[in-house]
Amino acid sequence: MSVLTANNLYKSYGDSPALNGVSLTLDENIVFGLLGANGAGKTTFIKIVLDLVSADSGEVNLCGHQSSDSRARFSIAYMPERFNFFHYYTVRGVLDFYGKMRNISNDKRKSDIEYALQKFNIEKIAHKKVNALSKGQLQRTGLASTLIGDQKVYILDEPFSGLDPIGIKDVKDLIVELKEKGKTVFINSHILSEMEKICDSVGIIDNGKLLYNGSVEKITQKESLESFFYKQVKK
Amino acid sequence: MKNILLIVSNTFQKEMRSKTLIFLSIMTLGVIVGLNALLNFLGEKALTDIGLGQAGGLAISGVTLMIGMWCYFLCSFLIVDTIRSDFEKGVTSLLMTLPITRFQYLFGRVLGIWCIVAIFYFFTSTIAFSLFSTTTKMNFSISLFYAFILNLFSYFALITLGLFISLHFKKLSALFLCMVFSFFIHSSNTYFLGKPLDDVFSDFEILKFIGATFHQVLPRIGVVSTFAKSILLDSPIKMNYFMETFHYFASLIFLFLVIRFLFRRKNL
Repeated sequence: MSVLTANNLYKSYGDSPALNGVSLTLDENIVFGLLGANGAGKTTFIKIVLDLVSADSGEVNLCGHQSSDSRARFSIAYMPERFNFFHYYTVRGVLDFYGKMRNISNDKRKSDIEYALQKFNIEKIAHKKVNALSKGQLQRTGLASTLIGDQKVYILDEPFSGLDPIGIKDVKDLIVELKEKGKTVFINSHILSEMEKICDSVGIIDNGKLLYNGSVEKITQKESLESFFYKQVKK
Repeated sequence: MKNILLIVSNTFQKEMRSKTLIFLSIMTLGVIVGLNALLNFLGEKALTDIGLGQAGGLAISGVTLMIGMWCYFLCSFLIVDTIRSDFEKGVTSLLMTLPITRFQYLFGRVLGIWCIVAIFYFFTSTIAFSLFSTTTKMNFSISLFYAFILNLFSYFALITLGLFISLHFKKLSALFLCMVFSFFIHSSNTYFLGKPLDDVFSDFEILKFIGATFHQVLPRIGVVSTFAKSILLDSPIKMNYFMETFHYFASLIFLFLVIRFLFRRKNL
């Protein structure tokens, strides 16, 4: 069953096209990576999926709802490239806010918060305010926020950015864990070596066009993801 | 509703620590206490009971004017500050990935700021009236309370107008525009109050035309505050109360619909 369907998305900023007829369908329980150079259209695609930017034409369906329908966002968790939140909130406060917004019961919210704090090793900074956190700690807080509640689709934009090797391992473990739970994970990353290890399928986007969409296994039977990616974008 | 209340409470957490709000509160309390000490001194040394009553009335008028001005300023300042900082720090886009509609976010912010301004207004006015009535032995009537409620309506409209402006301009420009617009709308409302519609658009002059358009299209904050003043001074003004009430709510809803429409199309 598909959890995310994007149909023929077009978007341009002024004269320059950002997305040029992108269509994509993601099924349940897969880890999908969207690969592309800077300015290829990855962020625009994510923003349209999240209804932060409206497409010129085309539509997005998330877990049975149009992306513009706020109910669709009960099914997704999003972690931006640079997590930033109300600076006067503590780490625990951020997670609590997410839980309340997602309408999670008090008991479940408390247990989810404890689990997320422990999972990303941020229990000791739970009382710290957001403006006192380092970049890595902020990223961990952002990742922890995705674990509050029970979403179907996890959209992670550059999840390895700003993390130390332990943090990177934690993220990879998280992705594996989410997949084991039957979730769909959508990752946007430049780190091809990591994407090759964790993704089931990838999409390669360049100049707003989806050049490839298929399984990683198929690619890696013949060559590395990195060399395949370069061949595709230099065609 | 739950989401709106969450945003309201978040607005409280965000803006109750605003240095401007704290500064204005302390300064207003300082002025009130200072004026009260002066009244006390005059009562003991110089003035008769009647003279003291007149001085008390003067002090009340001055303080009411000052509090009203601060409330006007706070409405614009706080809404611009909260909306612009959300945008500039990228928090708005993050919030919109949660199960909340754009309208709920905006309405929650307006409601939150309105509550903060109402608390400021209520506490400073209550302290001023309590102190002055004790010192001057004056009795203040229930009309004070009615005026308070009425002024809250004009603050709500002012905050909504500030929201509209802050969605399209950077912080300083938005604040400047809010102040200019609120002054202009207030003046237009006072000028056109009670005038028939054909009078409003007669003798074409560009400034008058703009003022008349604002008067017809936007919530009449000036009319509401003039009405509040008339209740306070017990001097009824000539106006169509039903039409003005209808206009206030209809134009406020219209303004919200425009904001909603524009914000739904805004790229975050």
